[in-house]
Amino acid sequence: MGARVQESKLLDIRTATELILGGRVLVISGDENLLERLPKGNWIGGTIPYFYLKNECGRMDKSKVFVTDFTESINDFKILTLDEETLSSICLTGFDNGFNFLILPALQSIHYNFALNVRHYEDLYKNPLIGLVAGTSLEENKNLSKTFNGYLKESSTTQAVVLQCSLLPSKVARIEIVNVFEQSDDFYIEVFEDTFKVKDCLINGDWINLYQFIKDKEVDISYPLICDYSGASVNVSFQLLVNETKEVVFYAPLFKNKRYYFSKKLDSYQQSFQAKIAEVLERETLIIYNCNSILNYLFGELHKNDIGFSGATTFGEIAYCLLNQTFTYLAIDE
Amino acid sequence: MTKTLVPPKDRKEWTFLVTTKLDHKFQNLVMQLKIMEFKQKKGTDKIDIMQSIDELYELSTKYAVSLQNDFQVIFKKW
Repeated sequence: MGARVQESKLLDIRTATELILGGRVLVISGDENLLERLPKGNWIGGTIPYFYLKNECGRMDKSKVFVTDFTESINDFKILTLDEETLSSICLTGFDNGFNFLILPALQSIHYNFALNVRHYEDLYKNPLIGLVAGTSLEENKNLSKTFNGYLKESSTTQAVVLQCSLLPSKVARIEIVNVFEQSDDFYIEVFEDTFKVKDCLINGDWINLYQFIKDKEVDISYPLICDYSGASVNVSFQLLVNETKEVVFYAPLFKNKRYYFSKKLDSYQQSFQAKIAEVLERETLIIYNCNSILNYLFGELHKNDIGFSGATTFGEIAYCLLNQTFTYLAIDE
Repeated sequence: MTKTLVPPKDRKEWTFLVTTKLDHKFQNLVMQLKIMEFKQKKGTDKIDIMQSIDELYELSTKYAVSLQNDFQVIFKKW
């Protein structure tokens, strides 16, 4: 038996507008100028112009928006804008049975705050907390990413937006991840505070400057660090090496009391993904949403390759916590 | 008699799971993250075993359909 995958679509602005005016409950990704033009309605959005597509090559597209329509899957919904203070109550304001879809603006205080503190949120595991970090065109680094509350027709560069959905009692939503990267056991890293920036750390128990270690060992930083969360491989991706301060900056935090490993080399992202996703499709019944990292889009050259799914790329994936370089999906069990 | 989807809460395996004496790798992400939370609390005074079992049991009940293979490995029969 194979999973049924509810397809999300890249649509022109007119079709997306018609869906909104028809009262559909939507998550929309796209270029800021297009999202600004959409009417008020039951939708949330985030700026992201990169898409991976089924049966065709992925692309950056500023003429269309990517739409996930949850209307047929859900029973009820609400849309909220959250600031740093109210974000921690996200799991308390949702429904008894359902899921929460969160969009955060990239590299803002609320993004860092979420990444560092979400594991302490009350009732975190009551319902799936899934979502994405919005981003911008990689060539136009000047713009900030934006989140959109379509219900109020408001946008923000600093606040998060959540679509809280309820499901019928016969249905349960479940988040799962597909991580093609595997840890290499040669070296492990430990830090002594929860941090996005690392200068000195322990590598195999020795106190070492991480920046220098990466330079000396010629580590390929397009591969993430990996941490084992009791069977879940959680990636932390390198953002940059700062020459002036000899620091290494990451897209997600490294936490103290955990061991982070470098990744094994892959021959092909696409082939590794296909091998892992085949098991998923065999196991699952219904998948209603998926997203993949912009770093996997670049790493796997998804502008030239098809991985059998369509989705918007993300500048960080939310699966209860902040992930990097990970394919994330929402399944429904009945 | 119909078999229930979730093994009884008084089975000792629940205690072994929350105290991480039993190191089972669940297939389900939320269970992996929950077990990780227990591991982090291990050895601290933050862990309340009865409360932890309640939390794990509640989660297991919610995701019972997708956890049958894991339950089979952990509990064998119930």
